[in-house]
Amino acid sequence: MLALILCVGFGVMQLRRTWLQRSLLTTPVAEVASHRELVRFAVAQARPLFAHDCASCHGADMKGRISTGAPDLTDKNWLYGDGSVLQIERTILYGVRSGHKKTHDVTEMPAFGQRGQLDEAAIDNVVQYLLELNGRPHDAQAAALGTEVFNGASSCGDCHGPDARGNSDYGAPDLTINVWDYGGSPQALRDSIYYGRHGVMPAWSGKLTLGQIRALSIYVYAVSHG
Amino acid sequence: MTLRATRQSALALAAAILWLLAPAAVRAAAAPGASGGETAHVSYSRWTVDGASVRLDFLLPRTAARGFVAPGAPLPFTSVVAAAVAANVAVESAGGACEAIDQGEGAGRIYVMAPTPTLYRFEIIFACPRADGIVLHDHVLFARFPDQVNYAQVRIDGGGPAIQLFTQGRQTLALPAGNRPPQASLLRFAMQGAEGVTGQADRLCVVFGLLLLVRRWRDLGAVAIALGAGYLASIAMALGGLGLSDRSWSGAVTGLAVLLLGAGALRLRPPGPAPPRGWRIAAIVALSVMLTAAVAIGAVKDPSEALAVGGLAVFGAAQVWVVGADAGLRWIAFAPAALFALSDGALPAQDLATLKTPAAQAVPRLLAYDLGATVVAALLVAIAVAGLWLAARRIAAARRALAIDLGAASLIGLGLFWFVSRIY
Amino acid sequence: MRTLVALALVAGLAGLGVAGAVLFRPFDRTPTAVPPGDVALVNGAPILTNDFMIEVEAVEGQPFADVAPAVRARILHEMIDEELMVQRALALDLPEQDTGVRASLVGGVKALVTAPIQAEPPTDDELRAYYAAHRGHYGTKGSMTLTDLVLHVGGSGDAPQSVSQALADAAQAAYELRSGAALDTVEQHFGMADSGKVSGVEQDFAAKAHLGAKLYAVALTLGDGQVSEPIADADGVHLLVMQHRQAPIFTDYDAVRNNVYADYALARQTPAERANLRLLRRKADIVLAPGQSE
Repeated sequence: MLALILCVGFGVMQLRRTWLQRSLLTTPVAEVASHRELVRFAVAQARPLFAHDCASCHGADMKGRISTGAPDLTDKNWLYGDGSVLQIERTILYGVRSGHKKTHDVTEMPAFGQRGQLDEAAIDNVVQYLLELNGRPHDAQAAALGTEVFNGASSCGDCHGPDARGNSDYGAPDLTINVWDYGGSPQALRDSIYYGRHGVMPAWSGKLTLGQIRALSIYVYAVSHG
Repeated sequence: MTLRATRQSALALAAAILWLLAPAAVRAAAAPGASGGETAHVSYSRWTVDGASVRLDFLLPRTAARGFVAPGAPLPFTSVVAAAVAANVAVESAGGACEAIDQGEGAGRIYVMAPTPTLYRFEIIFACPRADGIVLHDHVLFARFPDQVNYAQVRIDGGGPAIQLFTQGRQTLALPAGNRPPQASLLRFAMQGAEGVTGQADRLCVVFGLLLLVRRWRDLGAVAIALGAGYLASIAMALGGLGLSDRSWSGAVTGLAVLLLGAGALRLRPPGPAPPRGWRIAAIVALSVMLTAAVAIGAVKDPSEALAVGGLAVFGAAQVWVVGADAGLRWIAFAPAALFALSDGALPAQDLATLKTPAAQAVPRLLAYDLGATVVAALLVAIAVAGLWLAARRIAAARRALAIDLGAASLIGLGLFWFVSRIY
Repeated sequence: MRTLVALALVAGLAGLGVAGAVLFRPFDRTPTAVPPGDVALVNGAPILTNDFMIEVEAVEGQPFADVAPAVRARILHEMIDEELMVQRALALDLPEQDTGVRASLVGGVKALVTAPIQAEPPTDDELRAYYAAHRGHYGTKGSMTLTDLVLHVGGSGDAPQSVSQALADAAQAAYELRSGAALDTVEQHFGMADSGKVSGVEQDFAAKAHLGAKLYAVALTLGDGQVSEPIADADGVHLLVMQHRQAPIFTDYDAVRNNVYADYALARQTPAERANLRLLRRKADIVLAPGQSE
């Protein structure tokens, strides 16, 4: 009798799980995050996946890693897209500069210093300009010179925007919100400009199922939106 | 050492030798590349006659494409396969040969349709000078695979589909006037079923195993019931839209059936209720080999296949245990025949489903196929039993028992070999 | 005992059930239901909903929800067309037969293999070391304008002189050239002739190929207007008269850092591609026809 009850209970659980798994994918992606039960299910499914596949770069606390440039996933700042489940899913599916034909790979941060496009003085001036943009202590005179460099020959504004607020189509970060994937100290900023940045995120299409990727997307969205 | 002990030692030695030699002997006698009874080769064709135009959709399993190149050579390009198919199909009418036309818009004379993972698909349109006297020709791969069966579906001028079979002995089909093409008769399907049992070594071994199990005339009923139940179950599965995930599993299950029938025959051999120690060891070894194969296949191929092999191994062990433990349940020794019939019957069912044959057409033909196989198998067993009964008076009981033991041992060896070699 | 038999029966049936559940699958037929997460199936191949939505937003520049259904349908139609063409290409064996398709496929594999390497930027030291090792690539090439006079010895050009005699004559010719004698006068007097190996302004690499290593090495030591010492070579004794030598100008590292960076990045990709090819070869079964080698 007990065995029969256990079997029936197990069967019901499996059916419910199957229904939730299906709903995760059939519910319109713009609405899925508003279904609390689906979000709970997705989070439960995604947590071990994140720990296994994503934490090595983004950190177990999802706060990112300066050493890899993997961004903080708990805030609302997005290199690519608008932070919607759809865009997060896109990034997980095809990665960043992963080699996949649909990956995010419009451009990268050039190595202005190493390539000789900017000398050391110009780079330092740009750094001061960035510090000024973020309300941090800076050298005003150097910052003024940095503004000219930013919008001048170096064409930083082409990617980061003339207002330095970034461009999520290019993956060019907002430089005015004091969020720095590779570190925000003056030296780290200088290194980013001098050496350039070329972060890579692998494509998970084909390695994870669509359901798993959807679950991870909802998980990241839920965490970033509190 | 007593005579009995001497006999048992000799028996164990002979069984071991046969166990090892029988598979090698069968393999040596079989065609190159075969392991003593492969699943028959199949292909499919849909012929749609519309006035003086005949459209052919030809579906060829990817594995069959090897027939177009030398043994051991890599699979040819799709275009090569297409050209080979086109060279071996033809249509003629009362006005002469029908030309394959260029379908335009870049399609060419033979249009390569989007393939499925297992099948090539080609479309050819023939334009005939006249709409009467149409004769269909299919010569694809019969020279290379004489056992091939091409399941064909024929429609004429919007009429209902008819199922036909192209075989090596029948590679042309003349269509009558009107829109009612001839159907392959139920007798033809019954003969296909009968040829399926007698044409391959592993299926003959199933019959042989049943023969070894039969002790009384009423056991023939158990043979018919076991086979019939298995075939009916295969039809039920087909009606439910289910088929074997891989055709090669039919061969593996046949091997398992041979193994279990042999084990059952050995287990139930007269006289004496206690099983010989050697048999226990042999049974444990066979089960261990199968479970090892299950683990290995899970590591090498697919964990789900390991589950299947493990499930079959548990079934086999349980079946033999039950047969040996309770003499009243000896009829369970015939159960492997049902397993064989289930997997064997699933093949033609799958073939007819590939052509989307309506159930009303498919079921009678499947029943005919299964009946043919069952009747032939039961008939062979009956004839053999009758012959043995007549000869029994002249053969000493000890020799009869020895023959059963050696035969059963051979079946165990063969069945184990077939099962393990075919699951990869 | 009966219990054991019953348990064995149950176990046998359970084993059979498990095996049947694995071995029997729904017939391989054209699916009519699109799986969740896909927006369409084209001959069984899925078009992801995500791809469709992103494509609509990219083409229309608006959120997906704001795009009219008719527009969405048109874009889906185009995506299905693309999928059909891709499948047609595969059915026609284009990856085997079309050079453009093959080149694209090779490029795609290279991009996949080198993607992780691009994530690690080089250090300054690495770039400088690369520049030092490949300095000759950065800057202008050297050139020279010279005349190669040759005095043939016995067995060469039907000349009866011995090597030692030719060397002595050539030394004298060199002295006179350095003293200001005209070239054609010296040629006539000593029976020397222009070898014809070089003519006009020759870039260093061309001069090396024409003169050969031995004569080229001597030529590199000559400045404008200088004459070499006699050089015994296989075809006679040579005198090199340098009219004008333009040495290569190596660009400073700072001036070519961009080029060095690009070249270095490319050079790092090559070992990765080669390693990938080694892996592919190791796992491949390659058979060559008799008499063939690679």
